[in-house]
Amino acid sequence: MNDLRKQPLDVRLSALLDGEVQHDEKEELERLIATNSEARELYDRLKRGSEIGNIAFEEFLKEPVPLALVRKIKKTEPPQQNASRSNGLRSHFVSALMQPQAMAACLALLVVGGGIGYFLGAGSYVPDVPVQMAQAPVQKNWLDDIAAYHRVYARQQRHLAEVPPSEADHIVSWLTDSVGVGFKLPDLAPDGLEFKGARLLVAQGKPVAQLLYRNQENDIIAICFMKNGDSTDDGFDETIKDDIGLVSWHKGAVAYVVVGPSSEATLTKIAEKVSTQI
Amino acid sequence: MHQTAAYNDIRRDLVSLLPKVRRFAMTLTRNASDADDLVQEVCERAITKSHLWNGEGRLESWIYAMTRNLWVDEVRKRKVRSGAGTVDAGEQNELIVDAAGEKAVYAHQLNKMIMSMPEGLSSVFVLVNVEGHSYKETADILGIPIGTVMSRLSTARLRLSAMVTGDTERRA
Repeated sequence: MNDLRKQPLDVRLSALLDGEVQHDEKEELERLIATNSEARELYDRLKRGSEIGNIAFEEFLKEPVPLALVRKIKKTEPPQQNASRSNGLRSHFVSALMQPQAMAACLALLVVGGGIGYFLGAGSYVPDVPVQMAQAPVQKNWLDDIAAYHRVYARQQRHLAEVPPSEADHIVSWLTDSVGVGFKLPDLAPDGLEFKGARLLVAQGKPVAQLLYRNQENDIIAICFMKNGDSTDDGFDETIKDDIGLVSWHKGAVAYVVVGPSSEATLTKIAEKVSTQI
Repeated sequence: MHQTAAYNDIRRDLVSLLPKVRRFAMTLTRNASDADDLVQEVCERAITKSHLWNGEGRLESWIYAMTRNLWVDEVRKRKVRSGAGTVDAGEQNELIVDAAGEKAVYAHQLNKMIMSMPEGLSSVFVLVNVEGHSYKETADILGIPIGTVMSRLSTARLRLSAMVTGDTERRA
C-alpha cells in the first residue's frame, strides 16, 4: 500500500478505487466522499471513467486475432534446451578422450567393432536406417489424409458423424472390430467438448477410427487412431497444415492424432488428456 | 519435430494470451499493423527465450514487459519521440453516436478515442483497471515509478469520464 497524503485528491481517490490505500487513509477518504460534494463528484467521475474504459477495452478482445500470427507462433522452433550444458559436457568428454587410458580403450573398441562389422557385412545384415526413412512418408501421408478429411467433415452440420453419440456402446465395439484397436471414449466434457459421434475413415489404405467432438466455439475437434505396426512410444508432435492443426503421438502399435483448427490453442492439452483416457 | 511438453505449453499459453497481448500492444503502438508486428516479434522472442522465464508470477507480466521493451527499442530506432504522431484525447473530435445509439458503434468510436490517448495513459489503464495488475506490477512492467502509474491512471479515468460526459450532454 502507498502513502498518498502528498498526492492530489484525484490521485488519492483513484487509488481508493483500486484498493491501493492504507486502512486509515481509506477511512479518511471515505469520510471525505460522504461529507464533501466536490470530492464525491470527483470520485464519481473517476468511477465512470473506469467503467467506460472497461467496456471499451473489452471490445478489443472481441477482435479476431490474425490467423497468420497464431500459425507463426506454433511454427516457431524453440531453442535446444541445455545447449550450453551439453557444450560443457562435450568439452569435458573431448578432454577425457585425450587421456592415454581412454585412447587405448577407443582403439580396442575400434578393433572389436570393425571385426563385428566385417562378419555382419559378409552375411545378410540389413541396417535399420532405410526402414525408418521409408516409414517417414507414411507418417506424413496419414496426417495429410486426416487433415483433408477434417476440412470436409468439420463443415458438416446434419451429417457430421456416421454413428450418433447416443450409440456410444456400438461405436466402441464397431470401431474396435474395424480398426483392431481397443479403446474407451474419452470424456472431454470438463474441457468444454461435447461428443458428437464417430466415423470410420481410410488413411494409407488402413482403417482409421474418428471420434468427433464440438467445442464451445462450435469448432470440431476430432481424435483419430489407427494400427500402424510400429511399437515405439514417443512424445507429442504438433504439425500445422494450413488451417488445420494436428497433435500426433504413438502408443504401442497405435498411432493417434488430435485434429482441429490450427488457431485452437488447446490441441496439445486435449491430446495429453486423450492419451491418458483412451 | 518432437516438442517437449514445456515448449508446447508456452506456445499454447502464448496463443491463449494473444488477444490480451495484442490489446496491450495496441495501447503502445496505437495502430493495428504495428501492434501485430510487435506481437509477432514478442512471441518469437518469448519462445526462443522461454528457458529464461522463471515460472513465477503471471506469464503475461513477463510478456508485457518484453512487449514494452521491444516497443521502446523500436521507437528509438524510428527516432520517433513518445506520443508523436498522435492527437491528444482532449483535442480529438467528440463521440458521434447515431440516433439509435447502437452500442457497437459507440464502443468502436470509444476505442478510437482511447487509442488517441497518449501512450502512457492507455497502457497504465489497461494493466490496472482492466486486467487488475497492482501498481507495483504495472510499474515493473512499464519501467516507471509507482507515483507515475498513479497519476497517469487518475488522468486516464478523468479523460475517459469527460469523453462520456461530453457525449451524454450532446445527446441530451
